[in-house]
Amino acid sequence: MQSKNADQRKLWGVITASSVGTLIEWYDFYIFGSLAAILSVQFFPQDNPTAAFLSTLATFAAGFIVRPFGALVFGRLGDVWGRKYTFLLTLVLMGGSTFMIGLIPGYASIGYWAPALVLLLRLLQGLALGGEYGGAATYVAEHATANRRGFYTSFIQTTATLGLFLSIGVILLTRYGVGESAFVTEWGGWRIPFLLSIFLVAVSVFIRLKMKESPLFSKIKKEGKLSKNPLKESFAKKENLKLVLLALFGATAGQGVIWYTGQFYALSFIQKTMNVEFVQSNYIIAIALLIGTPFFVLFGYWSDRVGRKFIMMAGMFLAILFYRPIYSQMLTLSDLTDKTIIGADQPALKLTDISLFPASKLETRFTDGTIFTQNFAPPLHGKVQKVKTVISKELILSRTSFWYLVLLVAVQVIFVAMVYGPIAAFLVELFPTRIRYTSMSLPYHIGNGVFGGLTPFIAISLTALPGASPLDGLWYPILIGSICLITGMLFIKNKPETVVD
Amino acid sequence: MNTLRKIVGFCWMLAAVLLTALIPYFAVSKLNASNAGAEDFVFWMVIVLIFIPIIIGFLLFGYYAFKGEYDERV
Repeated sequence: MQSKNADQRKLWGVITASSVGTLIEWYDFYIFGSLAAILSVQFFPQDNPTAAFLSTLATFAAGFIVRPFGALVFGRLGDVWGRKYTFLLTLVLMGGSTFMIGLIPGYASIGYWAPALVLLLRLLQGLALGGEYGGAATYVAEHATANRRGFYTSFIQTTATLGLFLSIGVILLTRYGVGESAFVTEWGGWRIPFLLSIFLVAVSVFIRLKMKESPLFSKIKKEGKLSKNPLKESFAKKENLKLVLLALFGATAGQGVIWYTGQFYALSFIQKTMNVEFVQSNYIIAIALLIGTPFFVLFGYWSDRVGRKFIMMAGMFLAILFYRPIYSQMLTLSDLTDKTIIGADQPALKLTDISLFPASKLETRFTDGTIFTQNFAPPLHGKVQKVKTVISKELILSRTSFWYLVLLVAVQVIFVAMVYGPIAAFLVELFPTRIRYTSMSLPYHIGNGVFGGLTPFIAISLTALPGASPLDGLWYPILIGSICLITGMLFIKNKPETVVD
Repeated sequence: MNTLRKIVGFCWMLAAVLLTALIPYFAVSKLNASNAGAEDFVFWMVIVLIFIPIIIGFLLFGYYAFKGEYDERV
């Protein structure tokens, strides 16, 4: 009985050590994206073509090329050296890079060195992220009993969402603490989330150093069964390559687009299409993430009972089916045509009369609590212009609309949880121990990093096509999700493909 | 079910061939546009570079499915 309790304690220690580290890695990766607008001003001024070029390289190369490359590099190390030291290395690399970004002077101080150094560190972040997830998922799964693998690995699955939540929370708190104007200057508050990373990583490294190597890896190492060339064994042997391709086209590609649509595209849609104010839009996402997070564990647990395939495919199916109705409802919340303006009887507040105003800002309040602000280009030579150019719009939603929007995003996070919650267990069970880290990392990072990471860019490009509606961006996740759903339904078995050794 | 797998495999092979032609075509037409800048160049280079191996993988997956490599054997 005592031994069983000790084993349980040890297992929870393993889960905590792995999850905290992975959460910090996600946090580090996301703060760069969340602070992109400020980083762009400080490091990549858009009026400078070289800096803008480096900015684009940092955005695309880190996610799409370096992440899968990191999966190969660290996956190989993890299968040859062991899981523990490899994912310790990725954590240090990620934390160090994030901390260093917080220390680099802006473009105004050191010129091209600033964007070049930030680009280099961003690439190192991508490399580290490519190696972390596979290690953490493998490490936990190799400690867990087969009948509870979905439940235990689901804690690793919560880390990506919690990492995003943490990054939003730290940014909002810092912004609130130092004030908006002090937040955006060259040595301003935006650096704090980056610098904070070193403390989080130090704590996580300390915890992880106390852990032992995974028992399954230690066993095959003792038996001399380690793979000499995991890359060759993973991708050059047909029997394993078939499983890698199945994992990618039957699961992780669909998971990637659903993950990014439910969280990042939702935020982008709320901010750019609905024009919801920055802080309110981040609150909406943060609350929805908190509501949705327990479902990752629930679906992971449930997948131990009914199989991984059923839950993942149901999540994909529901997302494909409901994306357009959900986003249509979201769009309705930003429609002001049926709302009543407070003081509409006073001509000065009528929206149609904006051309008469010399002011560069017009705020319209509605009876339900909605506030709509339009910022105009300043008048030329101090003269009132007949036609004013709106340069930005900002919407503060009423309380009812706010919570309804939280609900609509939370439903999307639940779809994410259905697809993402059981996927670590699914991937782990697909490949044998000797090449597991390498084999599962690559399809995961192509699915999540490439297919998922492209979602905002492709979706925005689709909405920019002539005659397109704001909802047309959803065709990308719907198409990729449908291909993945068909493939998964036909080719994936509900029970593990490979006998876990 | 095995027949359905073969049909889907064939469709995925066709889709892969189509994508192999379409992605470089889109890249070239976007980069030849008068307003194409350095950012477009990076974006499309990354897309072509990363998607060609993925499409080869998709073609291979379709081929294996068509050949019955994923069939359930009773």
